[in-house]
Amino acid sequence: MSSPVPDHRATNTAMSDTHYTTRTSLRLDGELTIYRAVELCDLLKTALAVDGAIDIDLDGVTEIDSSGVQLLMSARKTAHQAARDVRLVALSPAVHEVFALLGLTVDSTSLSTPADESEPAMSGEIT
Amino acid sequence: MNFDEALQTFFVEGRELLSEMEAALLRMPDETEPTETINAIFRAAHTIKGSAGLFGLDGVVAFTHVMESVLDEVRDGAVVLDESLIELLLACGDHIAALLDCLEAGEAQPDATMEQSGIDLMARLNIFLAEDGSVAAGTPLASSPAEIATTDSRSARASFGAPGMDPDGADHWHISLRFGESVLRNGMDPLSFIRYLATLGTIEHVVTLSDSVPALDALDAEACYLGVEMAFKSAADKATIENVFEFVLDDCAVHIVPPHSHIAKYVELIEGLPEGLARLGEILVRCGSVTGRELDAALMAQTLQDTPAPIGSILTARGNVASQVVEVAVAKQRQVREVKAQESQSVRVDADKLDRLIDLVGELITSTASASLVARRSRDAALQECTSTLADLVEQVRDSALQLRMVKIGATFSRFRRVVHDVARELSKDIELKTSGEETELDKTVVEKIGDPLMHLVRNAMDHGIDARELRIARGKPEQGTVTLNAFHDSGRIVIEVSDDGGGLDRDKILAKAIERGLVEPGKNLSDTEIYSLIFEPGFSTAEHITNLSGRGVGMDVVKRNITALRGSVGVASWPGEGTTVTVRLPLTLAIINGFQVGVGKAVFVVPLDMVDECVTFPGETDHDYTDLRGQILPFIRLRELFEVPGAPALRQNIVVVKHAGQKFGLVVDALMGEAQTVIKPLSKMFSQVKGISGSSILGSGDVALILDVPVLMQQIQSSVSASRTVEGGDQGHRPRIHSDAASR
Repeated sequence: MSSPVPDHRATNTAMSDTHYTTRTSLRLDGELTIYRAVELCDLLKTALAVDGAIDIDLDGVTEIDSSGVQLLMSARKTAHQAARDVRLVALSPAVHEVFALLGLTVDSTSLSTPADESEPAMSGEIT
Repeated sequence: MNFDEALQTFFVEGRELLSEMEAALLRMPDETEPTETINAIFRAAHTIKGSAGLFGLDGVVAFTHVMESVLDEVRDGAVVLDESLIELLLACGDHIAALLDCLEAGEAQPDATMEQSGIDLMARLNIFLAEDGSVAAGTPLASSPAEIATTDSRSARASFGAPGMDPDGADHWHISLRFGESVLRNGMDPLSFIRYLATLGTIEHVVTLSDSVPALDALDAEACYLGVEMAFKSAADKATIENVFEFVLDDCAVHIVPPHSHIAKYVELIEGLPEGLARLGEILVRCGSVTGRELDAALMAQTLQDTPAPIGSILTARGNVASQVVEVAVAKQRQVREVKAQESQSVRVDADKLDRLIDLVGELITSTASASLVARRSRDAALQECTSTLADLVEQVRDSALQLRMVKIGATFSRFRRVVHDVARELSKDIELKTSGEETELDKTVVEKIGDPLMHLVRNAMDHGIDARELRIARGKPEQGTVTLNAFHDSGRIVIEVSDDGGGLDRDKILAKAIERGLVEPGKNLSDTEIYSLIFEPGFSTAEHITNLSGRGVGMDVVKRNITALRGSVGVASWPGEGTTVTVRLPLTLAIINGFQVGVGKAVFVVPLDMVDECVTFPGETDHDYTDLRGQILPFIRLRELFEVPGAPALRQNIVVVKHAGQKFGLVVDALMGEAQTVIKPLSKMFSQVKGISGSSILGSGDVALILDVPVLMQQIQSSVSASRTVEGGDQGHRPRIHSDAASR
């Protein structure tokens, strides 16, 4: 998993204004692992610097480890502090497996509003 | 490993655990800080229960469960492990052993008596569980809410401690993990630990804590901030679970709470962690490790208790205490792991396979000997060199093969602790067992056969040796009698001494009895040692009252017969008013020895090499049976005369000086033929009356060599020394002290 495979690891950072409002989509591809943690962290910071709601699309994630999970948690926390709406969408099987292992639930239907989430996430749930 | 083999391993390990438990129970009263010992007792019971559960041995599980519950109370300090409870637990251990025997014999159900005794024991155990609740509630200490809460949950647990009523609540491990920052950087992924853990059991519930994960701006993407609380159901033991986290133990906080732990354990866990009571409490409830009611009670108690002082300081103080506890625990775990690691380096082998190996090595030695003989005859230098290398290797193989069967005598000794404990109670005497030389090794087959004779000697020492308390006090001895077991190596033999500090043997009484029984002619002049040796004669017992234990006159002669059957010897020394020491000497092994071959005429004899001290030229004096060895008298035996070997003595005869039990004597032989490995073959029954020969061996040439029985020959020397006592005795003013080794055939 450490061998660099540029094709798979290339992250599509295209932020497209897919919807009517300022909902942006951030697509993460390839490995969400410690080898790319720093790079991904910067990427998320940049994405969150833009106003509006963000969908983090995890469909193309082939591998995720604890550092990846942590990054997503941190992104959620950052968003909450800024009263922003950040959703994880389209989990790949790899992401599903790891979330299940860690007892993390992702509820994409009930959108978290800033009001609901005034307190920090209770149990590491990523909604 | 198939099921039967696994079950067999369970029986073996179960017995080991039982004996560990027994040893721990017996040493408990002497310890000032018995916590570790109590834990050891609990662990043993717990492991037996767990493994028995794996094999579906419900009878064993039900019984050990009650026992474990009581031990848990002991661990929590709710029940005091006093003399009566130790007795009860010892009896419980015996019962489990009996259950195991029964199961191993293939009986599905224990018989009625055993079942009844099990029920009785369980009833007696349950008394402790029932008492606990009421006693604890009645104590003044229970006035604080915390105590009430604890007592509450404890009695609740006690009630489910009854067999068949297993709780469906917290029967899982609760594992709490806070990973260190550097874990990810060190190339380890917390996920992989959880994945691996899942192979050891079932992760019932897991909650990942993201509390410490900072926002992106403050995030060090390569540091780890995660924590995990999980409910884990597994039959693995604590050490196995801990081993999962072995590589991260140093920089991670790992807390493992065993199944069925007291609520206080969970509260302690929560307090040791940074997230706070309410938050973690909720998680634990979600994991199903504690119930909401239990937690509420504990929390309420905590709040009430904490109000007088600033909560913060108390929590910090507690945190510190907890971290110290953790440190100690981690150090202990490490020790356990190291012990485990050492254990895993050994392999269990069937004793039969070893015996087969030793037999084969024996055959190998015999054929190597004939090969070298043929090589010598062929005068082919290369072939001779080959066979000599071969012989060297075979010798090494022999040594290692025999070494495989060597075991320390300590295990046998520790068995006697229980015997002494039980017998002392039976006799209402206060007797302590001291052991030394536990490290001394001897062949497993010898160990197995020496158990019974030793048992008899120990019982005898306690029954006849140690006097009643009043008499001991009158004699100015400590009230507590001492029986000592000691072992050491001496010229290729193992020596085991059984001593007591009792009244010693009564010389006159023994002599009178012997005369009465017709064992000795009246008026015959006997030395003290000769008289003491009479106790080994058949049908001899001086006990005026026949007790349950000994005194039926079937004791010491059987002991002696068993020991001589092992090519050993037994002797006794006694000091009036001070005590008695019985000395057993045994060969280290029963199979193969290093022998020294000597020739007389055409016959070849073998002397065990370990007993050969030196060889000197026979000076040629023929009129008496002793010679001068560097200023000391050396009595000798002419083998030619003893065994009536035909033919004239060789021109230059030699004396082989042999040593046994600290005494030396000489054997006059025609030729010294040198060292040779000797595979001992027993003599057939027909020759059992022949004195001075202990066995035979086949030489390389196919001829038979006889192995000399040195202890018996020494006895013969003793009588000739007595006869020639008038001779000026070198530097010894008194009669040479010959140990009365009563070996005979």
